[in-house]
Amino acid sequence: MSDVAMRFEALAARWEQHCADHREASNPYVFLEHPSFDALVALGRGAVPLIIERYRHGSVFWGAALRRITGITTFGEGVVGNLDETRRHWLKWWDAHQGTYTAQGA
Amino acid sequence: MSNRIGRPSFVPTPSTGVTPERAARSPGEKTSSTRAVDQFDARATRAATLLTGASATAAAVPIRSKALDLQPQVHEATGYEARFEQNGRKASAAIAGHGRVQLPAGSGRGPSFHAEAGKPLTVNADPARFSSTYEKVELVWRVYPGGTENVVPMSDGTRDANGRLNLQPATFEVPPDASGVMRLSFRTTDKSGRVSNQWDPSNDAAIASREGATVSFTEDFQTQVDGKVRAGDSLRIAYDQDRLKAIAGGKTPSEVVACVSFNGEPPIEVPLDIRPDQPGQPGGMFMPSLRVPFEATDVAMWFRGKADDGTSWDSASGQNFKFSVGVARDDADPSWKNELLRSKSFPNLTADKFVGVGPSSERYNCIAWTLGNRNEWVWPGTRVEDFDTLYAQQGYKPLDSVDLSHDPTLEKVVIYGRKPMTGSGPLEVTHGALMDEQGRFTSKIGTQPLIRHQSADDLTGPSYGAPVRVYVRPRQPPVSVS
Repeated sequence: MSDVAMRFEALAARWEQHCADHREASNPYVFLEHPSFDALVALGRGAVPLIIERYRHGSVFWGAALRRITGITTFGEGVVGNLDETRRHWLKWWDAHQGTYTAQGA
Repeated sequence: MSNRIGRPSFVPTPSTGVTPERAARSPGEKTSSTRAVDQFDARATRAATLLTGASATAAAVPIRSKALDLQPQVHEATGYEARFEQNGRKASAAIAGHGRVQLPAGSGRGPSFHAEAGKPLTVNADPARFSSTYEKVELVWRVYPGGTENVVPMSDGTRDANGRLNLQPATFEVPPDASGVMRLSFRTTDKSGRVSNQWDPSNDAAIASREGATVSFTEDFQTQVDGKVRAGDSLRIAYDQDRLKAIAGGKTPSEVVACVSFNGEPPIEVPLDIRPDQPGQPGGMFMPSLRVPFEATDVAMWFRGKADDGTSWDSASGQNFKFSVGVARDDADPSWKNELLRSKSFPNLTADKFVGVGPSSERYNCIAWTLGNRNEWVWPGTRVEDFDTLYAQQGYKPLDSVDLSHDPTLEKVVIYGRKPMTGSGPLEVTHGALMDEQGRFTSKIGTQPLIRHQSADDLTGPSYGAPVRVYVRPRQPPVSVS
């Protein structure tokens, strides 16, 4: 497992625990406002393939991390709206662009 | 000869909608995107509503109704089979005297099989799936939630040429009041007496309960809903194949399939042709009965058949036939309630004060729920003024006081707020709840379950704070399509 992958796994576990601890929250920024989320975003492009895999079957709020890392605004902020649809858009985007990310490696 | 599916004569509400255009859905078309649905139990008088495509009538009648008596050429299953092969699973429905229908076996992430309350389920397993060291193989089944474990022997001690146990089919009747899923697993005992039994969710069978709705697509291109389409209940589909025949210019279609998509997900494709599995059986048309997932908020259907070298589509001119799905029955899954009883956020929320009516979901939040939207996460900001603007757009006006009295002519939304954690600054809004026609409240709790609770104060506490503002508008009349 690469260094980025190891750091990602640890941070993702912390962030998902933070979300679970606040699952009564309706304000989506409660989920995002946590050091582990900021650290995940700071991992940059190397984290994108890892996020995509979590995003497929995990939290719909992973889209917010993709938005911040990639700078792509086409699919919104990833915190409001039809977040299932947002996920479908991101996964379709990934199908078309994953070469750009995996070719550069982590 | 007509395959006519009649409209039950006792249904009091006649269809008055227009006849839709008979246009086929093109093969390359994508499923239409889902629409926000304004139908939930807080407005319980809103019956199942056909959102697009064709006219519909809805009547609260039992689904195991005379509709079946009037449909002599459309047959429901008389039993189901779950077959565990060495390299996969196969699901089928048996129609006594007619044949069998192979059913979709699922994506592998949930139930692979189908079952129906009050009907037999037969489990078959390939002996090659089991080690020759086993002395005994038993089927263990249990209805979840709520059921108890039952055991059916599958081996009698005899072995095949490879030394593996010969396995007999295990048949049992699904309890008539069953709903949810049927958990299936194999309990093995080896020569040392060690017992092993592992449950795999993809071994489950989704149970179509006796409660639910029948959607009929009749020869005259009308659509009728009998009963209420709701999460956790069953959905029966009575489709007259003469519709596809008309669309195909009079050519009789073959390999007719009902495509059923919940929440815009990839469709389940259910064959509607019964294939004779013995010589002399007539086959016929199948009326599938599916379990509506708890997570479903809407369902779309369309139909496909082959005619000569082409494919015909019956899809409401490519829009698909769309229906909203009502919330589940009270405490349909006890885990919804238990999850909130474990929470420390709501000290006032005791077991006698609420029921669970929907599962945990990231699909929508409390504010979306108050707006009648179960497909989106809605958050206008944290200031009370942000919510004033949001609800004003929906015709609500804020009251001068936190007046939580019940007036059946008014719809009320209450928002909660608390002081910021920093200790200073304006109130931060945390939650919204909707008052129903009977003065009760419904709340979607963050990503947690949807509940109905007795009073607004049930959610007062460290997480949500307390009610801070009430919005009101005249109660909207029930949606009626007739």
